[in-house]
Amino acid sequence: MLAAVAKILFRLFFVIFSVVTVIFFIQRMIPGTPADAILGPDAPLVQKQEWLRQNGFDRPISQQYVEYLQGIAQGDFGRRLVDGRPIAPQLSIRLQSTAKLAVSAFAVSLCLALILGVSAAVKAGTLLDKVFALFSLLMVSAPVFMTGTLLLWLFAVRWNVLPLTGHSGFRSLILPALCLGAALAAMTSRMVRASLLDVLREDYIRTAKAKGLPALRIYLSHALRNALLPVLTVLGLQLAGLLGGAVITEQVFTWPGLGTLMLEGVNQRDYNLVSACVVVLAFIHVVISAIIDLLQRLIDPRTVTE
Amino acid sequence: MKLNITLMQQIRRDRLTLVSLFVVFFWGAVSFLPVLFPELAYVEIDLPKTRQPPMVDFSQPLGFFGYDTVGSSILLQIINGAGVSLVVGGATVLGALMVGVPLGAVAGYFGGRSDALVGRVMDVLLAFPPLVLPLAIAVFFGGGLWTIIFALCAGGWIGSAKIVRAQFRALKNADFVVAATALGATPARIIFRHLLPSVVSPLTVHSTFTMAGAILAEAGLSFLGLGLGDGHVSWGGLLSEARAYLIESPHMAIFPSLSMLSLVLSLNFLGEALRVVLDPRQSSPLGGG
Repeated sequence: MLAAVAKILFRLFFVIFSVVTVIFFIQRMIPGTPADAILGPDAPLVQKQEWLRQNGFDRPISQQYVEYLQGIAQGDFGRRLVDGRPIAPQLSIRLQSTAKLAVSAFAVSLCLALILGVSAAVKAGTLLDKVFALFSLLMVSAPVFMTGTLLLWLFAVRWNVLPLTGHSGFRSLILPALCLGAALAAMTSRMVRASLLDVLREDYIRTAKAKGLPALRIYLSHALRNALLPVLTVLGLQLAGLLGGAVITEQVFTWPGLGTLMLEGVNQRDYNLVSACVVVLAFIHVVISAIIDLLQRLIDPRTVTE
Repeated sequence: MKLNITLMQQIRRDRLTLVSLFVVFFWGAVSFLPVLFPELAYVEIDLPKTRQPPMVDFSQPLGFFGYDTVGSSILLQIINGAGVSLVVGGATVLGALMVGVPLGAVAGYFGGRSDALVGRVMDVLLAFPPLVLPLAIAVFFGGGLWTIIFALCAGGWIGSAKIVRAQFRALKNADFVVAATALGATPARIIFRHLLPSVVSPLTVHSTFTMAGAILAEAGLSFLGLGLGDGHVSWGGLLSEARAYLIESPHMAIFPSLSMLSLVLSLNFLGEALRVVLDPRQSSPLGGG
């Protein structure tokens, strides 16, 4: 177990280091200097050079790279190119609201997936099963910005029961969490169904039936617990993906999270900000994935992922 | 229940498969219209027609779906956007297969260092949350059709590589491979003649879903304003533009939405149907007759 933990930690370190390195060099590979992006391509050359010197872009690239690494290791993501504000404090504020959205959407997804998945498996082959399958395929095929826009139009414009945008407490959380959660549940409910059906074919389920246990008890306590094991991985990946930026959902609902911060950077051509966001999103994503990996080894020692 | 059925049987017994096939071919045919009739490829700006609602007037067929914010015909843009979606989807699938299959094959068959190397590259790419990788690439390299396709391939190959790698690892010590090796077959011959055919089925199913995903991802990037840029009409771009006018001009959102939904949904249905035919153990109730 200890060896496995050490291995996962080492891989984690390697991946994060690589991501930071890749982002740094991609950023430096962009045609044109950051000065062109911020001051505009027509700005006088002297002004551009002065700006580059002030922002430390005139030093050798190796030195910039080492400083970038050191900064990130200390949680310092540099400054915004546009107005020179430090990026790190903004990241932590935005991270909180992204986490809020992610956790709520995850909860919605989990509830929906369990309800839809279990009832589809129990009623396998019936009309209900087909309707759920159709629904999930529809949700998988409809882009989040389409369903999100539809939800906004219905609830915020047509019926005016929920706020259209912003970050005004619980009420503005409902629609984005529902939209994102339903999209994810479309996928997981299918997995719950498939996994539960597999388990229901096992001998111990037949034994439980033969013993005369009530059906509900067989499904919920005998079958579901085993059926959920393979689903756990997917759920974990989903949570990691959620925390790693539901960029489009945040944009549709103007949710002030990391995703919208990154898009702010995109629109202002502020590559420092974009890189910082990408690095943080990737960081959260791999850390959560690693935690899930560890948890899974604890829960079910049979699964040895490579 | 019969396990092995052909695609024709599946089409015959499941109407959804037939409809999906028809829809995909329909959009394929539509995407050739601007090639056959060059006058359709030119999307006119006509300010007096700004956001005119749909009208069924056979003297003006371009107005069937209404007009957008600069008075361009929505119908015409949907026709031109169909090709873009299909090209992005198709090219992403091809690119992902071209990278993923060889890497997965090498990693799975030879194992050891090559496997570790491919695994590390995957680790780094998988570190980026979904959509963040293509988004970052689109931002740093600027938009454009080929950048978007490259951005989608960058993470898209991992799925096919994993399928190929797993299958090759499982089969490389199978009797028929050992026999081939004993008869003096080279690794290349074993890979191409004996192992590769076994991954065609799962890759076909996977590619159908990859294509649907790529079309959605392109629409998402266009929606965020990181799309194909000038000169290309994209369904995602149309939707993004329509958002500001949902109340006054819902037609701007409805028709592009329906187009995209029909194509992506059909691709997903086809994927499910192919799975029933090629990989019956994984089938879903929609495929079953």
